[in-house]
Amino acid sequence: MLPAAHAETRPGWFQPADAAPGDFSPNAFVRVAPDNTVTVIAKHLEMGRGTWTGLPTILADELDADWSQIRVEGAPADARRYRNLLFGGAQGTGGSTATPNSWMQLREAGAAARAMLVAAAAAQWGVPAAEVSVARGTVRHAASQREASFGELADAAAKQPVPERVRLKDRSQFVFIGHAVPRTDAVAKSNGSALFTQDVKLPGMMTAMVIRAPRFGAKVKRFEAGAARKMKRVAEVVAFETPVASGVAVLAEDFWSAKKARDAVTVEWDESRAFKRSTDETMAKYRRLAA
Amino acid sequence: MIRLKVNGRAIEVDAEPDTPLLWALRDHAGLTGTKYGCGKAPCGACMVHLGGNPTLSCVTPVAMAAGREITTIEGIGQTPVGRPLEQAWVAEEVPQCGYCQSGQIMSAAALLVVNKAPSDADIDAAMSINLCRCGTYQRIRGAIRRAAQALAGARKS
Repeated sequence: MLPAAHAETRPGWFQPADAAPGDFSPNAFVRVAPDNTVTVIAKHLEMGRGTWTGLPTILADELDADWSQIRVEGAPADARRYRNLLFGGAQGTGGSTATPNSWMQLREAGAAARAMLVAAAAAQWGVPAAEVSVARGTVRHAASQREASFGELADAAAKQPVPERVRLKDRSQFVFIGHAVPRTDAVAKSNGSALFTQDVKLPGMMTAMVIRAPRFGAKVKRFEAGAARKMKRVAEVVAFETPVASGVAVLAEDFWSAKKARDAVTVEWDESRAFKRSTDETMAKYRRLAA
Repeated sequence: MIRLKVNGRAIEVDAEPDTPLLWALRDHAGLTGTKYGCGKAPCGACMVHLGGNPTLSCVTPVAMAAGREITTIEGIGQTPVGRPLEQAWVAEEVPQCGYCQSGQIMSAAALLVVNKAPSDADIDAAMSINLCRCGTYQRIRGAIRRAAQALAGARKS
């Protein structure tokens, strides 16, 4: 038995996932719908490593779900529920942390959901919870030959208390973890429907094209954007400066309008504090240091 | 307004004539399955079919596509060659990050239209324009072979 949480210091992920009425969501990582789909909320981005397949296997295994009922959804921006446990308080993906920081969390999340489905079935059937088993998405009471799907139990499970402690599987019991399962993102990435960052369009969203400094440390002295500002669908041309970069950004309604306008902007750079050493000089310095 | 026929549907886009077809599709028609990779033609991510021919949409002005048949990744699955290709892509689990795969499938579809039983050399030659930084090339080959076999089976039955 492992402590899943303590009432006074419950971690943020004990808050439910964003869910529709009628869904069963015992924590931030799983949602069971009346149509029997199980949606795993992935707090990490899928960038080709199989994260949106691997993370669900962890939760689905402890839940004893059937792989065909598993769906995956990206977590909203909410560090309280979806922080990276290895990044302190921040929500983020990187450094090969997705699986290690999610491992126990997703196991406990799946086990908690499973325990609540079992408790709901036991209450409905008037049998001890210890006699109720779960395998491949079906909850069963063998002695009385009763069974129910997760979807059928979703409503009743939602009314069960979230367990403080959950029993986790022994690794010999894993059915998905360490076994091959079909990738969850193969279909969407084979028919053009997968949404990449560049495909996100929000109301009133602009496209910005940036003119960057030709040398590290150069800053915008002045820029000329009279012609660019008059071009169709161009909203604004602005100089910007951050601790690491200086440049001019052109904002327009669409990519091509922004690009054409950017090409019509001229920038004069202040290179007084810019890095100017040439490749030859750098190599010469390297040889001196290495000698 | 420029009139386009995309995936069998007539649409009008309010774009400048020099706008690349890629951006007319993505920004004006809302068809984001076609991807922007390099914008200069050497990567293949923006591949569509124009009048049935594989065409790099990032260097094709939309004015040149006016009135001609345009097929994108959103429509290729409804074609006799595109359907088994998409199924083969899923069966072989070709995509990793997936960014280049729309272009890969469009090139593969153009190949299978003209060559029903491509050899590995044929596949490599036809697909050489499409880059994949995940390195899914072996599975792409496998999926094209699988789709070709499915098409051959469909013709026999």
